[in-house]
Amino acid sequence: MSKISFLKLVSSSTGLFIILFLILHVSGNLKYFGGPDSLDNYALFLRIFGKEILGEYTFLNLFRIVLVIAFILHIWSTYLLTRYNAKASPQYESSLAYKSTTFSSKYMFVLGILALSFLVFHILHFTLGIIHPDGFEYLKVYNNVTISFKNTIYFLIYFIGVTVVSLHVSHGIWSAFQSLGFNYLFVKHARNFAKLFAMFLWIGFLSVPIFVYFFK
Amino acid sequence: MIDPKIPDGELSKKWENFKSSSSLISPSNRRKFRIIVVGTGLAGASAAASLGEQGYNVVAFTYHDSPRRAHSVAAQGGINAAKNYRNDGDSILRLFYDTIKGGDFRSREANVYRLAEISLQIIDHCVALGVPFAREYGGTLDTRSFGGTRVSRTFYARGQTGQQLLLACYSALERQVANGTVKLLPFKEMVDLVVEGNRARGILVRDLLTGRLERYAGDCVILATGGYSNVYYLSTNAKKSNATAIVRAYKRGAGFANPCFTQIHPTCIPRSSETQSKLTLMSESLRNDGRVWVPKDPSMRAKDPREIAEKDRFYYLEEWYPSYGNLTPRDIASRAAKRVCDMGLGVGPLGQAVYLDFADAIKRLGKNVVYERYGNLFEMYQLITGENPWEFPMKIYPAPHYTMGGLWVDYTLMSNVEGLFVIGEANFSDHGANRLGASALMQGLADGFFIIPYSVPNYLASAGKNTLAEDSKIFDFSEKQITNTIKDFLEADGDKTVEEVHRSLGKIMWDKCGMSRSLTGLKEALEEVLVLKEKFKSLIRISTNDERLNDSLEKAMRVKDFIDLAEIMIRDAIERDESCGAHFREEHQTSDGEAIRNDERFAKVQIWFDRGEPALETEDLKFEFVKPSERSYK
Amino acid sequence: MREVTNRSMEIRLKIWRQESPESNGYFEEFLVENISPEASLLEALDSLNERLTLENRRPISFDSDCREGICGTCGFVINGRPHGPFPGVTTCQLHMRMFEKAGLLVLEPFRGGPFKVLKDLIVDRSGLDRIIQAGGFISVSTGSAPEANSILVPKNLAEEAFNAAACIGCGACVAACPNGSAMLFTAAKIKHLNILPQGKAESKKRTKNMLDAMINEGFGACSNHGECETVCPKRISLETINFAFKEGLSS
Repeated sequence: MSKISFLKLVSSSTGLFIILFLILHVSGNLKYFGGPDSLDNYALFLRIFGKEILGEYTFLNLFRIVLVIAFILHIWSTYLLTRYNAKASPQYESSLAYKSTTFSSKYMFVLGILALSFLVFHILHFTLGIIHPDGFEYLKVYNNVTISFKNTIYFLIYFIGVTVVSLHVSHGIWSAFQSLGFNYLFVKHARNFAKLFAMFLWIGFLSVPIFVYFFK
Repeated sequence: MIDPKIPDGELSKKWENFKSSSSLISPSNRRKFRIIVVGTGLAGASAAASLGEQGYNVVAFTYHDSPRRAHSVAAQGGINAAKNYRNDGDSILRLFYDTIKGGDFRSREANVYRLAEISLQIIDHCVALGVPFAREYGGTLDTRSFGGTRVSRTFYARGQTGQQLLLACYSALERQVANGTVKLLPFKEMVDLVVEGNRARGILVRDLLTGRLERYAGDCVILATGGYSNVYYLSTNAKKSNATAIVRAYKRGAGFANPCFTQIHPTCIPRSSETQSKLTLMSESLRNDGRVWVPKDPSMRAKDPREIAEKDRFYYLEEWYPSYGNLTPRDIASRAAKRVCDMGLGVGPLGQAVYLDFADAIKRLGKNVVYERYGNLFEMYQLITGENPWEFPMKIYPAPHYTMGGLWVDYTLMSNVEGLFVIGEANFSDHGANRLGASALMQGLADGFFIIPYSVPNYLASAGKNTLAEDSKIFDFSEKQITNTIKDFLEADGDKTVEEVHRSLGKIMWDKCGMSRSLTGLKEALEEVLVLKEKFKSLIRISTNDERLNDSLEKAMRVKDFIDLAEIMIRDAIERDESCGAHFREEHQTSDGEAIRNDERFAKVQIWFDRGEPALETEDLKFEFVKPSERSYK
Repeated sequence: MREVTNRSMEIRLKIWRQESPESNGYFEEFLVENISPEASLLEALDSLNERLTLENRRPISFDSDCREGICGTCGFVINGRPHGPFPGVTTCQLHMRMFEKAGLLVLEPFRGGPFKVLKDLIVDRSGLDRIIQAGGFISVSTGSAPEANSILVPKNLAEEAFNAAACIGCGACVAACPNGSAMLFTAAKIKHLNILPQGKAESKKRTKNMLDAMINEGFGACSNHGECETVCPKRISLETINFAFKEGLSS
């Protein structure tokens, strides 16, 4: 397999895997609207899933490890691809008038780095509870969400972070389909569908912070 | 009298006899022979690739940045082959006969028969190389018909057959480059042929980027440098197409055969502006379904053609040539267009165009079928003219397109200079006084893929290896001459651009040595060209004295050689005191304007040699198989 | 009517000048007057060059050959678009009538990947040839081909192969790509040869080698901006890239 085929395979499949995870993640988030019990029980469920066989946390940690590997591979492969692109990128003296290049496609790598920073923040905040506003109590998910998003700075960070991730996904998802050689008729439509999907993701993820910040 | 060295035996056995009796070189010795190939169009690329496959040490030169730019790329219509897939009566013999007759009995029987024979292998090989020829639904190859034939034997890839064939040759060539058997040198233009002891020893090239002159010695030299229609300035050839390589070979002793045989293609887009730099051809295949006409009454010339009633239209080709109709050969269709325009029936403000109408075809076949067949040509026409051919009939006019003349070669495609092979349009061999449509691609590939791989080893085996050192005197001599020419040009301080001089040369040639020629006109033309030749250096101005990439210097060197060539074209046209094929002498025509051939005096090849002055020798054409007859398409 | 017309127009041209690959370039502005709207853009440059020559100024070097849109020699960026603002055409097919309202045209050479300016608007595109050398062929030597009709190629497959094979190698796809990638060029050749039965035998090797060559030559990797498709004068679609990626995965 050629170098770029391999890198494309890695970056696209890990990208799609992470998007699958994001879909799970956003549907979990929506449990917030079911009230404290609904969300906290869901969090508990994730912790004890597979407990009879593997013990508490094991499944969750396994899943986390897989995710971390996916992220590392995704970052590694896209970094290498981007390096080729940056080296070959044309330096025009007049400005080029692009027709189909989008903001997302052009700034994929920058968006990726921003998304990664956001991810680090997100883990330090909700997962590990190292950075948090006052009143944050480990494992009290509903309560933590509420007080975090009541805080303007946290709200803004999440607003920007989610926007960045959605933009990244809006090009990434169709690009991944194309790079994996999915049926072109599907891919062609996926290009428009990707934007719609990214918007749903954006709305889904932001629905909780917006609800909390403005209406609670 | 010059001997073409045609092998003995029956016509149909000659090539077989040659192949089975030719000398060979063992595989392990081949790489010791260095073969120079100049030009990488269909003929050059296929020759270089085939010789590379055999294991020779090939060096291929092109003045383009890549072999894929060669002007073979622009051939549209198709490539002939006597496959008889249509079961419509085609055969090698019929393709042979059509080509001989199409050339108005001025070509060599043995060469043409070989061409027809090889046509079968060409299609096989091109398909294997991945040429996406048009197909029937069942997956077999599709064909269409072309001018001058009554069978459907033309294989095609939409309107881009030349492109697809060139890309196939180019890919075969690049494969050999990757294998290390061919060294490809782009941006290098041949500026001289080095001959010693009547043997081609190598070439001198100018690197177009650095301006440096470089020497390349070889055991033989193959010229595949195309035709010289650009002598007319406005032609369908590419801007860079030039005659320098063949003229330099002529200057170094090679004979130039039938220079006056130049083809004017009937279906080109008329000139539209003063600054026009070239003309664009519309494939002859358009005449399959398009009908050519002009208004019967000169007063209707400016009228909207759609409003001219059927009875007021003059379908002159269909009326004059009922049996072939719109598919008469090129020379006849071109002259007929000129005739109706001379009668004052031409359309367009200059009266220099005729209509090519698809209204009937669209009605009969539907827009889809017409689109499938000619879509890209329609688009091209619209792009260039800004007129919609789906609404209005196209306007067309003849333009210089192909040159049947070229360096003289014997049956093995070797010139009278030993070790100098000339292939493709650059030689004179197969098309006589007029070429049939879709035969140029056939000939280029026949020469490169299937003839050269036999004739070159045959020559090398007998001539032996004898490469000259590149620092030898004869190279010094040649380099000095060219250096002086370049120096002269760079210092030239006239008040005309090279382009202007070329335009005036073109005008002389088009007016007086073009579609129809008269003795008085030719004599005038000769005088004018000789003046141009003498004054050239004092007329022109090269903008910068930069020896490196310098377009106007390149151009000046090419135009200088065009002028030399124009001289022998005119002399040849004067000497050939008959009308035949594309060469139409006004003194020799019937009352209704048909050409009158003179077989008794002119069934021969006229070959010009540079002996201070151009000197004429001839090769007799012997017709053992066909009997020259009146070439009628009525 | 498009025969010789007396109408004329004028246009300002801002053109990239660069003496040699090593020297620094700059823009220079020219006014071209009295040019027929029926003249092509390259003919306008021709006539500007004739004028410069007579004024003893250095003419503008640009490459072109067939001037009918098939050889792929010509091409530069016109007002920010490779081959100009109109879809499906090459630079040589542009006519001045298309720019009657433009006023100013900015001409800059193709850039990106290993493309290097040789002089003014002329660019070294030899990298594309080397991609072909890596595998853009069918390995069949002269003389060894079977009878043509023994290989049946369904009509639609032949058409599809043709659509990809129509590439003229002009390099506009590279020039338009924010990554300087030659993916459309490479993919077009991969698709042309890989879908034909004749080219199947070495399709895996071809795909791998050509894609590797593209990167090794210094072209970018594709990231699916889709810009190439919008400038391709032969309208080669992103579907070819899709195909090449698919082939790449199994190569």
